[in-house]
Amino acid sequence: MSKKINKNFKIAKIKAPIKVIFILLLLCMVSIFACSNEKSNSDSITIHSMHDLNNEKCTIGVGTGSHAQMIAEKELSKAKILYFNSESLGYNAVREKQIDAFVFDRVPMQKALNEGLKGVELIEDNLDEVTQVAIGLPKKPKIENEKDIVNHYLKELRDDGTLDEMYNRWVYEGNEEMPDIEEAENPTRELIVGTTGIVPPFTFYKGDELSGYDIELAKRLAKKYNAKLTFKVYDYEGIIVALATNDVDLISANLNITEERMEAIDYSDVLYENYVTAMVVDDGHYLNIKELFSNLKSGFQKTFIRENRYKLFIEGVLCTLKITSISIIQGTILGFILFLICYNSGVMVNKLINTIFWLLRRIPIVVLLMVFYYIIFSKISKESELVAINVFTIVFGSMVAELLINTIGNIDVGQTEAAHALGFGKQNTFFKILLPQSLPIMFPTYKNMIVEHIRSTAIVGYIAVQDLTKVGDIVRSRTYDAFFPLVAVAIIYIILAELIITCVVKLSSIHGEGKESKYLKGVKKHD
Amino acid sequence: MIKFSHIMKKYGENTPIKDINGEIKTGEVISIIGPSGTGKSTLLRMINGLEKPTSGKVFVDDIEVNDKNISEITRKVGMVFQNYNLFNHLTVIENLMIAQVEILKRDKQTAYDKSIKLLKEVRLLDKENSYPNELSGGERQRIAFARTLAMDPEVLLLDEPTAALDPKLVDEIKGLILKYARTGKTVLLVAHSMQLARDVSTRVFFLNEGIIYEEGTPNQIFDNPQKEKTQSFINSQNAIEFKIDKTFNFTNDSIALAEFCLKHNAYLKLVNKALLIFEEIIEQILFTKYESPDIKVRVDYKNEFITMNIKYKGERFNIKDSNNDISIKLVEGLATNIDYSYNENDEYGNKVEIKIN
Repeated sequence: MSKKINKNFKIAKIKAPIKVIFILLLLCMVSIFACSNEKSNSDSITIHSMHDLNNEKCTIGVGTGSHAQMIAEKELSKAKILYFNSESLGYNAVREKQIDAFVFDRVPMQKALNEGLKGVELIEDNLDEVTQVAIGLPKKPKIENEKDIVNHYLKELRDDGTLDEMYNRWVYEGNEEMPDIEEAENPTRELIVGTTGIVPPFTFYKGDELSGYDIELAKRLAKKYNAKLTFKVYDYEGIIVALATNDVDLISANLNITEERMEAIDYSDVLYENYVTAMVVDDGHYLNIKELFSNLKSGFQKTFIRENRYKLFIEGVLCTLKITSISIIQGTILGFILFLICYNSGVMVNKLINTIFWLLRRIPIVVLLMVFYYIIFSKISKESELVAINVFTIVFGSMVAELLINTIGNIDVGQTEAAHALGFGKQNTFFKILLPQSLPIMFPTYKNMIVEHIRSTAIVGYIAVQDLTKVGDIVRSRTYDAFFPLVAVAIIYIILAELIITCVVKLSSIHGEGKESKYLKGVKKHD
Repeated sequence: MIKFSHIMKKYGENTPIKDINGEIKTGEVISIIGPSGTGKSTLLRMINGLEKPTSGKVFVDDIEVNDKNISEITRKVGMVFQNYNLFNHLTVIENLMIAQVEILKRDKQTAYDKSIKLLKEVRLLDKENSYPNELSGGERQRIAFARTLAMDPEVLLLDEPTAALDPKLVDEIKGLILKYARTGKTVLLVAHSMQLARDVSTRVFFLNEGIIYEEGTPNQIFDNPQKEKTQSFINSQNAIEFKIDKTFNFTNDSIALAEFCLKHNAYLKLVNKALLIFEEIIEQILFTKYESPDIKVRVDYKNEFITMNIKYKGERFNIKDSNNDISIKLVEGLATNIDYSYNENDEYGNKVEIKIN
């Protein structure tokens, strides 16, 4: 039956080898594009000091929500400012000459250069305002006297020189080894620490383990107060809200003190100071086509092999797979239940459910996710993966229900009348007549919905779920290479989508076409 | 078998059915006729619960038709729809079997055997494994018939069973209805074709003004209607009238004539004959004879005869005396009988009656 639907269109099924070839072709094009940064930009301005950036012709990038953003907005008010979600994207934008400079804290940028980021350099001077970094604390802590406890311990560490030693070791020496800090043996309390995991050398992933100055500090704090330590990894956009809603007990993530943030959260005493400077393109360095292939090779090496980063990818894939597959299964069931409620109920219930659908379809999923995480589920569960699964179940369920309503609503009413006249009840009519007729019509749309659904789960990083996209961000923050992790993530998404679709098709064909009719099975035929 | 008790149906401001009462005995074949919009189909659909009366009650075998009894009702009552409503996702044989298996819980073999027997009866055994969209309208209608009969209903409801079928198929459907009725079962049908109603029914309900305006045997209703509105309805169904003068538009009137004949399930050959005669007499003979022709034509169709009454003003003139030899020969060849008479007292004095068979 399903073949009949497309008879008005000349759509042929794309065969697997062609798909692969197409992806490889695309990959080559993107990689050539990514490496051909020899754009002639004749009227580009020369930048020697931070002062040169305060210029109308100048486009600068900043990290969204970073303190550097605020200082740049103040001191470089003439320049056009673009906002980036992660520093590594900003570094790449500089290299690709999409922006003239990326303004950020000096230490992480210096770290990036030390790590071998090519084609860029740092300006020697800094912006005037200095940023102070501290541990973020909630205004209404769950732990009693949390601020006093933290400050007291920080003072202890400062006095015995540990803080300075840590800063030296992580920042100046570039040592990435996490010292052994024992975990509390019989923890008497819980400490949940929010961090970002994408700002080396403060908070970053070493292999699939969190590492860095802020991580070490949090571990010491937990040990000191005999607490069981749990890390939650957020984007910068989400982390302040997470603290303000007591989703975490403190933030240890190179967190700058700003006046605006002080309205929502509290701070510990100052840990260290950051200077804000700018990264600009190093005109002396160009990539040629020879370097392209060695770059690809080293990109692969850095993205997957070094520090066993493939483990991170595997975790991310499993997480995405878990969220999508569970929400697809649950959502499909929920959709059917919602549809059956609508089908069996009067006008009022239908209106109510349709209003809910109407609302769900108009709110961006990312907003919905935050609303559920921080408001609706905040009292019930802080398990962010569970919240993500629930939200995506609801979203997918409403889509399935709407699909059913629209498809079955469009089946000729004569079919229902004929079924009624033959004695079929309402449920029988649905399952024996209406559903079998609409399944082949719905199936292509359903497949598209699944693909769309898998893509839309890429936003769960907002509520501290480490899915595939988030893993891509994390790895990017370590390799300073936007190209390879992004392409890898894209390809993995394509493979995942194909995999899930194949499963769905297999499952449906077990039940569907090609089999002998249910009514004729075992019947002895005349003729 | 079926009882209507003070049935009223309202659609917003409209009240097509005001107060319908009546009883139908087992074995009767009832035709429901009447102008459009009088709720003929609605009344039929109330018997198996597809429509609910605003007030009043319908009984089948003394069981009230309501949501509670609906499965009992639908087991007794079968219905064939105007647009067949075969299940599109099932083959012909499955269409016939599904309700037997699912509703009557017959075992598959019994259901299959019964379906095959019925397919033989409607002469569509070769379509066993076709899907409904691969069938012609007439084939679908017969399959719909078979699907309903497979359930062994005691009452058969037919909603315009011959609409849009060609005359040969109408005869076949007619045969199916009569065959079924001979087994002592009850049939109710909404008929647009008076010929069908006359041929199959034992009693005719004429619906008008929201009530059963007049009822009786086919002979009473069609040949000797008592009430004025019944008479005018029957007349309008049986005949079509044209008034023709210089401004006459031949194409429009031909189409109207053809539609009228086809509605009464006249054979296409007969319709063609009538159209030719109409054209020859009006255009070729009378329009050349008179400078300002003024003609009235009344055509009716009864017992497979088309009768054409042509009256015209002007001096006495028999069309047979026309000097247009070819036309008159043609007309004489096609018509079964041609009568001419002249009445001085009538304004339209010349009168030609032509019978075509």
